[in-house]
Amino acid sequence: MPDPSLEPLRQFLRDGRNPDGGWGYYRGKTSRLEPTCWGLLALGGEGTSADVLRRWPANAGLLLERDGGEPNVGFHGVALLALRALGIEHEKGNAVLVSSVQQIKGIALEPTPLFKQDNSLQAWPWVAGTFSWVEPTAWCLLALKRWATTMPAAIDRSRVDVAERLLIDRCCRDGGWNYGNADVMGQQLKPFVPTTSVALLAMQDRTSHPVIQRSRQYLEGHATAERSGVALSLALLALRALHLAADGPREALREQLPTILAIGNHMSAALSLYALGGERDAALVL
Amino acid sequence: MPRWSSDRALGAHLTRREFVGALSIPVLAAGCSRPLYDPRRFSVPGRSPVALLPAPSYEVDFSDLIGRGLRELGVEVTGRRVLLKPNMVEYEPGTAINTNPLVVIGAAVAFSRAGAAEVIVGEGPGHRRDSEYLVTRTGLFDHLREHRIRFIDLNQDDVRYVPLESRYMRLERLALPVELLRSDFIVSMPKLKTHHWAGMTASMKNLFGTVPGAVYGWPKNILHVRGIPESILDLNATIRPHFSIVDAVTCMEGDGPIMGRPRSLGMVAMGRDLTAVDATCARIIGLEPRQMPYLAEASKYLGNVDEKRIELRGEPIGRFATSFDVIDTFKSIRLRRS
Repeated sequence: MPDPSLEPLRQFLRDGRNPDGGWGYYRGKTSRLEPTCWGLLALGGEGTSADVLRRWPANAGLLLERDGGEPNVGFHGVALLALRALGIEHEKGNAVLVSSVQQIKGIALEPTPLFKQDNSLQAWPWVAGTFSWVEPTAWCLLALKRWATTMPAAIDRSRVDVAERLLIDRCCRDGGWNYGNADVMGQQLKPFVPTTSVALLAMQDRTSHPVIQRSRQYLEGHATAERSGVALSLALLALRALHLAADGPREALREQLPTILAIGNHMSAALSLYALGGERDAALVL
Repeated sequence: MPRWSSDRALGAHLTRREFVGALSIPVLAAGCSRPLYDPRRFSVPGRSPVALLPAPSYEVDFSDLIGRGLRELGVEVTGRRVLLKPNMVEYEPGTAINTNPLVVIGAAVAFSRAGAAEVIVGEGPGHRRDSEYLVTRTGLFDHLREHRIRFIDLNQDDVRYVPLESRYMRLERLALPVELLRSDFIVSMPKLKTHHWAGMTASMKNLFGTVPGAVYGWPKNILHVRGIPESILDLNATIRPHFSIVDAVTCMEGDGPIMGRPRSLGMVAMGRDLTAVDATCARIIGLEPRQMPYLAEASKYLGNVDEKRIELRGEPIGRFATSFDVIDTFKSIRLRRS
């Protein structure tokens, strides 16, 4: 039985859906891959057609960020999670999409004293030809781990390994993740809640690692520090995946709902509905 | 102690050698086989008026102050659709990272009073992808709502590929937000800060926030891979903002644009020629604009850097002139004041 208090979010998403079945980030805007995936996950199981994702345009096995655009590797990772959770076979074949993303690597850089990190690690960039960052790496890593349960032979363990090493390498000193670096020009960078949450989701099967333990503690202490639909939803989802208490971000997210609806961002609304919906977050759980 | 500083991550691709290399645009230009821009498509003004208006604190009436500046500079926006592009980067209490929302709202009111058909505010933060968090925590959202002004998240707006008008980045085209491209009058509204990669960030560097994160990611790493001065030039040549209003009431010095210290300057700078506005701001904070590669190069085709071609209005430069602390890399470009 759907939670009636979340009906305004559901209605907002239904009203904002484009005729092609996808969502733009805002009402009336072109359908984009990221909000479309979260919209489908949020409304999944409510008679929502997922054809839009089945037919989403791709090039060389990588889903385009939008029709006519270029691939966005991070969003491709989110889409792989959505395809898996919704039981959709993309018209190009899910195995092709999984295989293609494993061919993509962020650029390697020479070591530099400016950044205390291993610049040789090549996980995933947002777009081809750029450096590896925490968020696209974490989404793609989580997607590979999820797909490994149904197509283990298709998963390149070396890609999983390098992604885990990158996330461990880039963890901030006291736990959590900034968006790409932890120590630059002698300065410790501060972690952010959304990037930390996504990285923890990707590393939820590595809880014994000291970096993950520190980061888990960081998130437990800061889960409500960043008040937005995206930050609170991701914190709630990560804490739940780690079997940790999530009452704080859940309540804060409910308080945030009027602001989310006033700003009108479909991705924020969809993530919030997905996180507060409770039982369907298997898409992100290993 | 950890601090907000992820903007440092923007340069993650740079080795020290590459970083120094990024400061040598003429060498790059000499190495290109195609012209970097078509001079027939650009015209540097004979003279560039820049207004320096006193604003000792954020308690002044910015709609009045900016309105006076618009009249002084003869700005005509009747019936036009105005897009204000502030610099919203990160939220941290007690810092001077972002354009103050009171300056943004003051400008919106001033342009409305001047007859603009619509005024909107658009920004696409470069490393914080969570605009909802930024606009609510900084207080901008409440001000926008009170004045019924639309906020456009430039990171997530619809986009259109646009051919670049100059080719310092060695790219042919770039995706840009449709709401930006539809605007009749684009106003860059930066916070004046020192910048650990570019020397200074003001009107021109502020255009990094127009590049859509949903296309290029967070950070907009393509701009750093292609070179910060190069990207500043191509963005300004292509977008061609119409005006600049610089929040230099409280600025940032030292390790900007995020980790520096607040520094009071008590000023708002305004002008149509963004190169001239930025060159003037550089001189005010004690930096030699001709030693900043993007300004030196911009002076060839975008606007004026030469003092003799910048016509100051309002207060004299001496009222505000000072010397901002900069990181070691930029100490060599300090202005030698006579």
